[in-house]
Amino acid sequence: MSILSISNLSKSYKKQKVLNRISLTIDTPGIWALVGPNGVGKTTFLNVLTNLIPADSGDVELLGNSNKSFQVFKEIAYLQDNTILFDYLTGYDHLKYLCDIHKLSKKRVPEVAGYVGMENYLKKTVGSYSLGMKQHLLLAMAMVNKPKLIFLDEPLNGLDPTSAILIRKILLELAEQGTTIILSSHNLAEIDRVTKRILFLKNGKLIEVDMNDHELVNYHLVLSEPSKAITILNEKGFQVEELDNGIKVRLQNQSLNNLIDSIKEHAIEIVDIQKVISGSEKLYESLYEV
Amino acid sequence: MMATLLFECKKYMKKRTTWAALFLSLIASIALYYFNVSVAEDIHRGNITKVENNIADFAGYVSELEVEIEKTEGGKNSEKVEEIAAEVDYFKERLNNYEVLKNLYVNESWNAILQKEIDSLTYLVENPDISSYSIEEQAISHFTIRASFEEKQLLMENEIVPFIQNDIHVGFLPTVYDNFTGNSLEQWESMTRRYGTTGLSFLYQLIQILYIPIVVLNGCFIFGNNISTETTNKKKGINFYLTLPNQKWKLFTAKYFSGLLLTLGYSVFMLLIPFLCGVITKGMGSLKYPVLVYEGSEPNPYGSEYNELNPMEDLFHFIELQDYLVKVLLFSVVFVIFLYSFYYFLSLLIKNPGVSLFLLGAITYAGMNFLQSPYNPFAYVDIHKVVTRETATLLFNPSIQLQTGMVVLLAASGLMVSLSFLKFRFSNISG
Repeated sequence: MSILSISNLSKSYKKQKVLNRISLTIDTPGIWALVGPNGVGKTTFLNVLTNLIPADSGDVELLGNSNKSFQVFKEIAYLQDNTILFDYLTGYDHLKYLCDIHKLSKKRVPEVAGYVGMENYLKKTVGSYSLGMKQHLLLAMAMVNKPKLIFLDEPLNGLDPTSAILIRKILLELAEQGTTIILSSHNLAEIDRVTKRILFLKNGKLIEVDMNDHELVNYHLVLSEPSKAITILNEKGFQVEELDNGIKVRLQNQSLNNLIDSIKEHAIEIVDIQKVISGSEKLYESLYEV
Repeated sequence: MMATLLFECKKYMKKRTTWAALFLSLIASIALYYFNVSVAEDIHRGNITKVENNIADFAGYVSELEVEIEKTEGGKNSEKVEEIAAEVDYFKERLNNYEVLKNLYVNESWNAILQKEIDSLTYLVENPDISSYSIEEQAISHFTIRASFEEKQLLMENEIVPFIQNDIHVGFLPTVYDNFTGNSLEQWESMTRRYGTTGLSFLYQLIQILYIPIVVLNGCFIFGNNISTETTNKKKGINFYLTLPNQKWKLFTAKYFSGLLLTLGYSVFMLLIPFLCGVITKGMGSLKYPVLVYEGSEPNPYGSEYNELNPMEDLFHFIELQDYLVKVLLFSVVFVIFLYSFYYFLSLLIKNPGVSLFLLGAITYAGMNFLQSPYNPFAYVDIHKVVTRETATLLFNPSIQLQTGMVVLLAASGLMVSLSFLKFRFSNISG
C-alpha cells in the first residue's frame, strides 16, 4: 500500500492548467517538501489532494483509500492557513472538538498543546494570538489524531527563529516516528534542514528531486598554476570552472582524495581549499530561472 | 454529528456579535413594552379627561338652563319652564351618567363599564334593520356589532380586563367586515386600536402586528449564516470541517440544526421577554380572553368575482386565548423551520447576511401580498390571520387554515433544505 498515490491528476482554473496530468507515488515515510514560486499552485495541489477542491481528472489515494472518502481523515491531517481558525474560540475549544471528532479523550488536548509549547495560551481566544501562536495551534490540531500522513501548507510562515526551530524539531521527530509529511514552504533553507526530498511544481508538473542525488558539492581551490590544473582536471573528467582567485571543481562520482592526488601529481601547489555545498536554492534558481 | 452540533452551538455562544444582537433585541423588546404601556396609560387618562370634559359640558348646560328657568319664571310662562326643566332633568341624568362613568374609569371597574357597553349594544344587536352606529355617516357593520357584543359578554362572564381603547362609549372589536374610508377610517382605526398591558394581552397584541415573522427574520439573520460566513475569501472555517472525518450530510445536518435550534430558542426568548415585562409590571392577564374566529362567507355560485361578505348572516365564534396561543406557538415552530430553511438557502447562494435578509424580507412581503393561494407558503406569514381564519374569510378560501399551512410550510421547508444540501454537497463550497 502506497502512502500517497497520484495518477494523472489535472486541475485548471479557466484556461490555466495548474496541475497537468501529475502522477506520483510515495511509498516510504519521511518529509517531502513541495516547492514553487507564489501562484504556481502549491496550495491548490494540497487542496486537490485532500479533496477540498475537486480535481478535473485523475485519482488520488491516501494510505490506500480514495481521497474522496471522509474516512481518510481519520489517519491524515491537513494544516491549512490560519483563516480556518475561529477567532472567538480558544485554542482549547479547537483541540477539544478535534478530540471529540476523533473519539479521543480530552486528555489529549494538554498533551498535544504541551508538545508544541502552547500551554500558556491554550485558554485564550484565537483572536488574541500572534501569527506564530496560530501556527502552533494549527500544528497541534494537525497532530491531535497522531496521523500517518500530514499535509502542511506553509507551516513556517511568519515564525520567529525560536518557533521555526521548535517546529522543525517537531517535524523531524514526527518523521522519525514514521509519519509522512508533505510540506509546502518558501523557506528553502529550512527545507534543506528537514528533508532531501523535494517536489518542485512547475508549469503544472511535479519535478521529483532527491537532493542526495542532486546536492552540489563544490570545492573552491586556490592554486599555484590554475590554468594548468584546469587542463589536467578536465582530462580526468572533473567539472571545472575558472574563478577570479582559483578554480571551482564539482565532485560527482569522484572523491576529494582523487582530486587532490590529481593536482599534486603535476606538482601544482594547493594554497587553499574550501568545500561549498549548494542545496535546493541552487536547484530552484536553475529550475525557475531566477 | 452531535459533537459538531454542540461545537456549532458553542461557537454562537462565544461570539460577541451573538450577545450584542441578543442584548439589542432584549432592549428593543423591553422598550416596546414600556412604550406600549405609556401609550395605554395616556389613552386611559385621555378617556377619563374626555368623560370629565363631558361632565363639565353637561354641568354648564344645566347651569345655563337653570338661569334660563329663573328668567322664564319671572315672565310666568309655565309651559316654557316645564320644557326647560325637562331638558335640565335630561342633562342632569347625562351628567350623572358621566360622573358614574368617570368613577368607573378612575377605579378601573371594568365589569361595570362592560355592562354599560353591553347595554348600549343590545338594542343595536336586536334591531339591525332599524338601528346602526355610524362614524360620519358610515355605518359600523352588523357583524362587528355582534362580535363586539359577544366579546363583551364573554369578558364580563370571565371577569377579564379588556384592552384599553381610545373610546369612552363602546370599545368595538374591529373586524374585516368594515370598509370605512377617508376620515371615518382614521377615526375607526383610532378608536379600535387596542393596547394590552398584562403579559398575555400584550403578547396577543404583538402577535397581531407580525411580531413573530419579524423576530424569526432577526433570528435567521443572527443564526442562519453558519455555512455562508465560513466560505468567504477571508474566512474559510468550512475547510476546517471538510478535512476531518465528517460525512458531508452529517456536517450539513449539524450546521443546519444548530442554527435552527438557536433561531427557535431566540424566537421563544423574544416572545418571553414582552410577556415577562407584562407579568412583572401589570400581571399575567387572562388565558380565557376571547379571540374572534371567523367562520367565513359562502362563495358566490356565479363566480369568485361576485364573492361578498355578508355582515348580517356570516357567523363567528370565540376561542379562549390559551387555545389561540397553543395554535399560534405550534404554527410558529413550523413557520420558523420554513423561514429559516429559506434563509439558509439564500445565504448559501448570496453569502452576504444583509443582502440575504433583505431579499427574504422582500420575498416574504411580496409573497404575503401578491400571491394568495393555499399552496403559497407566504400566505401563512400572518399567523394571527391564519389562526382566526381572517385570511380564509377575506379570500373566500377555507383551505387557508392551520393544518394546510403546516403541510405547505413543511413541504416548502423540505424543498429548501434539499436545495441547500445539494448546493452544499455538489458545488465547491470550500473557501
